Amino acid sequence: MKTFLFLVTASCQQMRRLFGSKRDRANGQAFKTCMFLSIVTSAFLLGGSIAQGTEAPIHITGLASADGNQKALAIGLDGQLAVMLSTEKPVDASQFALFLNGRFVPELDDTFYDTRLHALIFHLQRNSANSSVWNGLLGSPMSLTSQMSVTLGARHPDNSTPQPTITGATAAPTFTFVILSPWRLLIATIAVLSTLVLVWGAARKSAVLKDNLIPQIDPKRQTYSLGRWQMAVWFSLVFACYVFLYILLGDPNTLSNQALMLMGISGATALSSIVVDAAKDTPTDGVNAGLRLMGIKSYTDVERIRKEITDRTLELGANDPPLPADRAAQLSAEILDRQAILRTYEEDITPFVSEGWFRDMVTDVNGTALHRLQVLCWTGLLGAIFVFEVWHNLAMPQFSPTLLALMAISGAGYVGFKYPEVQD
Amino acid sequence: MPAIEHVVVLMFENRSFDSMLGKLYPTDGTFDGLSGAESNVFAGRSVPVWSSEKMDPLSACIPDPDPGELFADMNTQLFGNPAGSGAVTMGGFVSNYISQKSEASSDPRAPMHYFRPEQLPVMSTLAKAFGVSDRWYASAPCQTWPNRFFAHTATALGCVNNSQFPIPFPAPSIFRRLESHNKTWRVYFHDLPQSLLLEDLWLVAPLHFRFMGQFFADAHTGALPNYSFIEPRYFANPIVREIPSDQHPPHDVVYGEQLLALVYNALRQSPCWKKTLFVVTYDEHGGTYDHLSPPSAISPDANSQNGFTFNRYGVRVPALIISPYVAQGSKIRPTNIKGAGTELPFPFDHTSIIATLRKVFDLGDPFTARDSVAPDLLPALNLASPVNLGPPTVSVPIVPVTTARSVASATMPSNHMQANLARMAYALPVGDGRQFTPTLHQIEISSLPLLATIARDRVKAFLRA
Repeated sequence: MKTFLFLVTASCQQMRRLFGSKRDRANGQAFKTCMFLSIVTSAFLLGGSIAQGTEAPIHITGLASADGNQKALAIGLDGQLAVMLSTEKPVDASQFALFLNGRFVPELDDTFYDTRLHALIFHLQRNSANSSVWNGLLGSPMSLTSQMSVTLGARHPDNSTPQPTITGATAAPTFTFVILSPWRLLIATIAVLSTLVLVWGAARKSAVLKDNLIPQIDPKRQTYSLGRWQMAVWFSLVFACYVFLYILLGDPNTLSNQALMLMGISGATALSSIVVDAAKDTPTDGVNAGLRLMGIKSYTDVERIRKEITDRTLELGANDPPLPADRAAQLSAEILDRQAILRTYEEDITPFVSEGWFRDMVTDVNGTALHRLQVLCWTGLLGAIFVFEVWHNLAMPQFSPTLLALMAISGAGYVGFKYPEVQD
Repeated sequence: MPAIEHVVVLMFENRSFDSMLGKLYPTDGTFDGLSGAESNVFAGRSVPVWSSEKMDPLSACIPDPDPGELFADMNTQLFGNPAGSGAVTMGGFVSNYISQKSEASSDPRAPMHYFRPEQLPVMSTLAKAFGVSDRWYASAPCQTWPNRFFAHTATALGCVNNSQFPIPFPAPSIFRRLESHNKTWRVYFHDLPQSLLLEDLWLVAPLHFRFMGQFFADAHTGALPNYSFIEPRYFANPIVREIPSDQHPPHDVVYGEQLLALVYNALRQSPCWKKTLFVVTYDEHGGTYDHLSPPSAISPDANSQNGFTFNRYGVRVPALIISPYVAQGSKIRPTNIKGAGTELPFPFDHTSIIATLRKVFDLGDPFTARDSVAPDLLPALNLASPVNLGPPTVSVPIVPVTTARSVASATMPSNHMQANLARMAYALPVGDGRQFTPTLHQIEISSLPLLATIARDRVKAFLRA
């Protein structure tokens, strides 16, 4: 009787879907006819099943992990979900379709019926055929887990899209889907942070993102390089997003052609700007050459001169035993000479030290440079879009060729204008 | 007397008259230039005067390396022997050049080289637009310092070579004389001003010494002092990509041309122009050939060295006399009557600057016996009113200074002038209690760029005081 009521209810639900709500139903007569046929059919099936001695129609009795554990059930991608059925008779697993949150998840290979658990075991795998479904289920994640309802549907011989007709006894059962595994998230966070620290954290103290045209300047005071900065932005974004997608989806093939092209464009821009810097004769070359002639080839030499001043000052200040007059005069002269060299050094490098990240990015010796500003703006905008798209769609965005061409033109414009430009 | 209120002197380095202006008026019998037949004999072969076909950087640096310029070298160039005995022949330039240690493998023709007018467009344009003198000699057959001191003090106090001078130089200068007569003066310089050696300027130097940029500002606003003395750039500085503009061999003469053009254009556009006398000359010939024998001179004082009493002029040097009061194409020799008259017994020399200043600004008695007989330049101002305004501008030669070029220039062996200017800078009292002054030998064997750096720093510190 229970099965009969279930079939009647299911039939009625199907009829409603087919003919709409009662109030605006236009073809009421057809509806009534179908309802009647459904009830008759259900009664016939019920009678048949009683006559054959089989169980009532299947429903989901519970959810478990593949080993049958129903407590604190938490499964993520690549995990196995056991959907326990009300029947103890083995069923053909290939005839059932899995629905998560009402979405049909196609092409789940390795689905089988576990006779011990009386359950269908679904391997929650993501592949090219179902990736869009998973993207819809997992996209825009705001927490590590989410609750997912499970329903089943019967596959049709004609391969038409199945419908979620098999639920729990009263409602669709739910389980906790692990969007991001904490330990994988931890490893990924460490990997991403390490990269970001290496690239950006050291940027202020090292010459990684600096022009380094005058190596005699303390790396902390070197001017930021727009070309290197842009390259670092795209590298960081693509790397972080790739790691994010990998830990989320377990898919190592998320890099899109467009992401590679963005990295290529930014790399080419940075490389071209270095080539231009190396090829043209700029005031920085003069300072570099002049300081070399003064014996200052790198910042290490500056530190050496400072130390020599300190050492000589200490020796000059030592009174025990008192220094001979000629030695004191010599030390004094050597200190004065080195102080003069350092004064000249400071004077010469002053126009070439960093005035802060933003000013370094957008200005040259003539002030704000439009070609620099446009590179900065487009990189920032596309970078933000890139991050949003990855978070929202769980895939590297597919930028149009026009947009990529825009980035290339922007970079080429920067390199072209850089030739006569003087970085200050 | 012409209403001259501003006298501006630009003194370059170490080029003879013939090497720069010898062919300015090649067919004019009233101009004592080169005929082309002049020569020296070396190793039995005639080495004639010559000019390079091109005006590329190599040609613009001839003679390279630097010829000898010590007193003994000049004796050899003039007399054929270092003692300076016998008659002046002007026949020892090549042999002296080849005898220099660094020049043994050099082209023996180098000191006989001259630039054609088209190779020095600024100098030749101005010479023809105003006046040129073929009778201006260095004050003594000596190095830079003695001759520059003659321009400032009318004496070298008996020193013939740069390295012999006491620092500071104690003779009273024309600058303080101007000051005592309520006349204004400034020294405009690029890196190390040689005139900072003058002892009587040390106390007032910060008030009067200005970097060259100030000259252009003063000219533009009409704030030029009564007397401006301009010193070219003596040192290369790769940091700011500067190359010497002093034309001292083997420095590229084009950068001197640039400086000359810039100074003329600034003066020409200045409100002061109609009251300005602009003199361009060279301190000494620097071992480059000139065919005219220097005449005898009046000894400035009782000082002498090894029997030389400074009773001879040095080799002829170029001199341009530029003013709206000077007629176009003037060929100027010292006379007592404006534009005519009998040639005076003494030629122009650097003390003519002092004589002119004394006369223009009524500065009183001469400094020494030399400037007492030196002809002044007022007769050269041969127009009754300032009507020869000259070309509105002259083209400034554009020769980009690359880093490689400035580095090459900075790493040349130091010349005597540079080494001694560095010595001067070390001796400047900048209030740091320095007691150790390196000897000339110590400076010469050190890195010149490093010394120049320290020297520039000390000059700046001194002038800030």
